[in-house]
Amino acid sequence: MITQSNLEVIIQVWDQIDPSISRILTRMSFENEHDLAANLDSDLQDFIQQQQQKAQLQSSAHKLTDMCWDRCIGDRPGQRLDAKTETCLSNCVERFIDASMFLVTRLQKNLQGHS
Amino acid sequence: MTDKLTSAQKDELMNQVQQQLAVANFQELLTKATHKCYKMCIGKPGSSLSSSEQSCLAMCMDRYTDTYNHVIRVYTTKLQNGLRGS
Repeated sequence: MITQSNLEVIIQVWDQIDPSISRILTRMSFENEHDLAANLDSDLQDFIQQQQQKAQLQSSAHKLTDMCWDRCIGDRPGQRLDAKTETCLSNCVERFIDASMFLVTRLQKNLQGHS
Repeated sequence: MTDKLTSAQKDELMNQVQQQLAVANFQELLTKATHKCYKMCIGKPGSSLSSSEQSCLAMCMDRYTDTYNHVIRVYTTKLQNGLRGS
């Protein structure tokens, strides 16, 4: 299992390599954290967390759009996104997440091996 | 005076945050699309924007927006379905 403290180490490492991964991990880390600003109004607390997640999601989506646009869109813009392009975009996004998660798991095993 | 926000202040705060997030998201989309579409449509910058460059830019911006919407949909679905299990 990932503990809170080694998750923080992983997040720091990923922040250098690929911030979009560290944001996914930060979100996982948030879900584990119970004593976040205990005095804050609970409605507001929920709202802030939702908005943070939304901002993280949008930011990752911008990076993925940038990357997958280069891979899947040719020299000229078409009249619409055709089915082939949409499939390319879907594969591009899904395999990026798979690759990231594969590497996070591998890194986590390495870190546990050293401790 | 209490240190708690009134319900009206809370609504105001929430609206502000949501608006600012939407503005930031739009600015990011515009910045990214401008770079991509400039590269795609303006091969050799002339003394003015030609009409074919303009129509390329317009179409490119629309496709970039479509691409962003597609990507965020796929990404959200994948995170919801895939990440929990792994």
